[in-house]
Amino acid sequence: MLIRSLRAENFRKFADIKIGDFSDGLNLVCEPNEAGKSTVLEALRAAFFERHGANSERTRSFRPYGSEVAPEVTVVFHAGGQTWTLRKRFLQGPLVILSNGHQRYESDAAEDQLQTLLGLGRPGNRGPDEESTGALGLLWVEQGEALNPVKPADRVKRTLEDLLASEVGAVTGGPEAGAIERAVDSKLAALRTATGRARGDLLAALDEREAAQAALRTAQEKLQGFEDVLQGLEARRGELKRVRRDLEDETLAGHRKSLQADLERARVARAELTSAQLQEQAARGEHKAAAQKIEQRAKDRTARQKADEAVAEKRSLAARDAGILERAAQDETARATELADTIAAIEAADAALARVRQQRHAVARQHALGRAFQRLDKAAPRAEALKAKEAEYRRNRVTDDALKRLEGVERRLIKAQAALAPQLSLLDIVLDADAPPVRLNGEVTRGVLRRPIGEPTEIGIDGIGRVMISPASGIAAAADLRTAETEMKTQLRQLEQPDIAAARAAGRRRVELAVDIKSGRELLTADCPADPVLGLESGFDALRAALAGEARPEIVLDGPDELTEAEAACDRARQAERAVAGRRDAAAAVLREADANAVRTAAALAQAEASLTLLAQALSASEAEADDEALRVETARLASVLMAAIDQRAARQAASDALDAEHIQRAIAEFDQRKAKLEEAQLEHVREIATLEERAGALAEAGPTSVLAAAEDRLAFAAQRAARIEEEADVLGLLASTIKAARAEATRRYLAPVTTRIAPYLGRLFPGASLSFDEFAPDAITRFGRTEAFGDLSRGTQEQIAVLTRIAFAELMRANNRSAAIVLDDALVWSDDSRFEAMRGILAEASDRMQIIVLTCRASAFRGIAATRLSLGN
Amino acid sequence: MRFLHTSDWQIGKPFGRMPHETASALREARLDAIDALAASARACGAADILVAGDVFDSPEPGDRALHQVLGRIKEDPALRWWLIPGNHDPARADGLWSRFRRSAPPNATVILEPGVVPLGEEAAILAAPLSHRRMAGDPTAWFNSAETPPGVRRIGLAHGSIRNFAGDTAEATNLIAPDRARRAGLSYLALGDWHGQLTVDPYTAYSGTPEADDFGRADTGRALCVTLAAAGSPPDVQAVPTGRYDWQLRAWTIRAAADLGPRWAELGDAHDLKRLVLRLTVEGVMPMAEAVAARDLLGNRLAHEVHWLDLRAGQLIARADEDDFALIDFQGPMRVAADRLRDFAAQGGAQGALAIAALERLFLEHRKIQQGA
Repeated sequence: MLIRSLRAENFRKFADIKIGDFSDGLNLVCEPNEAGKSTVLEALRAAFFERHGANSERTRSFRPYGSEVAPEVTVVFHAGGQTWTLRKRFLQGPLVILSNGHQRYESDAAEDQLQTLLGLGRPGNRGPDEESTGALGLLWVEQGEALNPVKPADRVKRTLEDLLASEVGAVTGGPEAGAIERAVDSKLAALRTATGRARGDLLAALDEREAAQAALRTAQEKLQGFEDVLQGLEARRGELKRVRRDLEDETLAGHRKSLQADLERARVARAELTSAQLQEQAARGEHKAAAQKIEQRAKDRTARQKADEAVAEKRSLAARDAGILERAAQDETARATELADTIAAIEAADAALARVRQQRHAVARQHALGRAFQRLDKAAPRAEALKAKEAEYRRNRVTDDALKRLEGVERRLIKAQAALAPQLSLLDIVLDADAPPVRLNGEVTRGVLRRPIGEPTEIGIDGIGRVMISPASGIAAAADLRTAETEMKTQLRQLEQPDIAAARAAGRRRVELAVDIKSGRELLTADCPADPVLGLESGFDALRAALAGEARPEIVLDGPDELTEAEAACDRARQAERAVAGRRDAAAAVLREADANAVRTAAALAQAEASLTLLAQALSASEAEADDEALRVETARLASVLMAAIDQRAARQAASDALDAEHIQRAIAEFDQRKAKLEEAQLEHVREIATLEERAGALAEAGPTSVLAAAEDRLAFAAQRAARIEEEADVLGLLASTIKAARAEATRRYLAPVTTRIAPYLGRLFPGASLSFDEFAPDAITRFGRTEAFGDLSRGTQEQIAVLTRIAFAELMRANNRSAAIVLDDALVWSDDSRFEAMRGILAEASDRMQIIVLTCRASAFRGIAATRLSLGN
Repeated sequence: MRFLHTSDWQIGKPFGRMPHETASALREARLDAIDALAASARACGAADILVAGDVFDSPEPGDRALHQVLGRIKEDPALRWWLIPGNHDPARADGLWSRFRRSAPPNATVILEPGVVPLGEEAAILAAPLSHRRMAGDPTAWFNSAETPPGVRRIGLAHGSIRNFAGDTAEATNLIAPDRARRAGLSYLALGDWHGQLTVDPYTAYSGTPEADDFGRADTGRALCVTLAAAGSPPDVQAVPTGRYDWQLRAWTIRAAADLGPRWAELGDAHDLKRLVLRLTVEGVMPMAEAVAARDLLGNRLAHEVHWLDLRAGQLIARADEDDFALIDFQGPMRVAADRLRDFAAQGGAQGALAIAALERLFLEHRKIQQGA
């Protein structure tokens, strides 16, 4: 088939374009990017492979963007020895018209005729996929697709196979072989995945087998559970039977009874023992009481005797003490009288002494008064002198402070004077003899004059004017001086002093006076001491005041020493009184002691008498009750009673020991416990049996044995079925793999023509290289003994080999009178310059034998090549 | 005095190795056999039906099976059923039979302990129920010394073998003395266990199962109608048919698919095909095309004519030769594949068998394509 021309209207970016006429050889459509080259290929594919009635996403994509118009394509092509015009419109008012000079087909008839011309089957509704585009699809390479190796779909593959088979003279088995292979493959695929995993019926059968196995295990477990319940039930029933037998055992009941009887006996023996013990205790008590009574009587008698003796003794003591007391009382009375006398003597002596003392005091005062007048006489002149000095001191105002202030003023005065003196400027006036009159401070001056300027000075020159000179510091210093002088005068006036020298003298005088006054006062005080006899304090004033009212005494002589005698008499009286008082105290002490003793002995006597009376009473009462013999006889009797009680108790003890109630009770308790346990066990068994019966019933309901039998059958059935399907899958697998291997081998054989055709081109690109195929796709290239997988080659190389392969297929088809055009849309984009050069040569050469249409944006790359150059024209 | 003797109902047998439909039909048929027995009893004028053990297929068949049986039994209150457990359904405490007895209608008597049970006024049943699957000794030994009122006819009812069918006498269980009837003075000894009907002596018989359940058993699907004659004379025993399905076993050797036709016709003449449960073994070595055709005929046509066909065609061997290849006209890769498979097949073994099957499959697929084309 050769393409002559193409016209596309309302197709994608084309409003209406026409391209042609294509030559039989190499055709170049050189247009820049975005000009619509790929759309040319798309329009060709639409015309040949899309059914006109198709309303698919793909056909809708033929419309210009955003437009609702109907896309239309018209192709003129040569096939079957005739030139045909094919016109197809899509979507709105779809139509197809196929015609040559004398035949015209429309609608489906046109589609069928087109397929026949192209050597294809009826196209599917899926659009131009690999199945419906046939070998042309293989040779028409879209932009960017050149890189991909040729991977023809089944039908294309078979077409190619047929072509190849006719070349190599082999048979393919025809369409039947493919149908068989497909049938086997699809049946196998229904049972196993490509990786050999089970699916579909096989998977279901295997699952069912597994489920059946699980069900069988469950059924076995259920049955085992049921059997366990039944066995448990049987065991429980046996246990229950045994328990009941034990409970009903007669000998056991007998043993219990005899134990009970033993226990009763033991209880009686214990009671009897207790009673004997009590009796023994009572007898022992009575006997002891009797023995004590005898003993007590003997004690009482001894006591009464002792009491008699005590009373007698106490009586004699009381008598003696009474005598002593009387004597002591008499003695004390005598001593008291004596003491009273002595005290009277003391009082007399004291009175005499007082009188003497009064006399002596009067004499002493007279003496003291005389001495005091003598002291006053001596001190009076000194007191007058002192008074004069004190008056002068008070008049003198030049205190130390005042003097210091005065001296401060003096220092300022001197300082002011000093400040004024050396700062004076000198004014020298030298007047010419015939000078006009010059006045200094109003005074006319003549000739030469020098004068210090201490204060403002005015120089006047008659007929000329005045010159005023004012010294800067002179004014202040003069002021200070005046102030100091004023203050000095004021202070001197206040101090009542004529000048500063007098003030200083006055100051010294004042200090001397202060010292004199102080020592004068001290002397005066020493001359006037205190006198206790006169009640006189020290000091001149006190002395003068005390003596003011007294008369100057006569001279008095000392009197006789009456005082000493009186004092001795007093002492003597006192000493006597002391002696008498001591004797009287001793007598009083003796009397007190005697009195205390008498009281004591009297009390002891009364006590002894009382106890004697009690003892006597008790004894006589006891003796009245039972005499000594009767008491002895009774005691002996009670002793024998006690012996009998002891014997009785010992016998009971032995009897009780022989029957151990606790032991028997323990035995009974153990017995009862066992019985209770048996009864409990009986209840437990009954309960458990009921439970197990219930469970057995529940488990039996499902029929565990028949469930097991069914499960066994199910597993057998499932296993058989799984085995059968597995075998089927194995058979299909073996068949499929055998067929595949056979076909692969055949393909390799058939591909020889392709390999042969591609060899020269390959040699030009890759010297010394050979290409191998996996089915129809290039698989590996071998260069210089090294084999590289197709997928590992560079993009450029892959692309070049893919294009070469297509040329080879096209040649194969041409050799079978089924020449087809190769359309390459922007192919060889990955090729470097030298390879591109080689490829360009190969395409030019191949175009001698077939139609090749190259859509490219690289116009310059094909410059110099003999080709029909076409462009997209409106 | 007339009664019906039956045994080995085996209710609840699952038939799980068969397709579901077949299995459920066979299960249903076993239950229906009870109705058939009741009808037979009425037909021959017997009021009592003695069931000699193996009423159920297993010791715990479940409540459904139990009540299905009870339901059928109580349908006709005029009939009295006397049942004993057998080795498939031995009596045990708290087991199936305890529940059966609790729910049994008045017209059903289950005998669980060995003993004498009056059967009306003129007869008594000496029953030997089994309490275990296998019991040492003869369960009917005590019949000899069993006491019955004078003038009462003694009818034995037992389950077990009279001979060891396994051929080994050392470990015989449930083994019944063949002359028990004579030694125990029985008017009749009704036995169960053997699924085919078998007359041991004029006084002793196995009734067989009322509905066949396995291949290779003659005289199944029946009951026995027993009429006691005057004392000292053997009873009159008549077989009555009760079964629905006909279980048959066949083995055919063929050389071509065409050999099947006449044999099938012959089978159809002798048996009602739609009631046939057939296990058919087909063997023979033949050309590939014949083997494929034979299998196709058996599997896709004849199998549908019978109730169930258990086909065993493992020894139906296809021999792929040049004639077959010529016939089918293989070319190209298919021929290569066929040759390879034939080479594999020639090596024999499991792989060889698989290769033959694959080859056969190749022919089959080829034929399908041809037929479709």
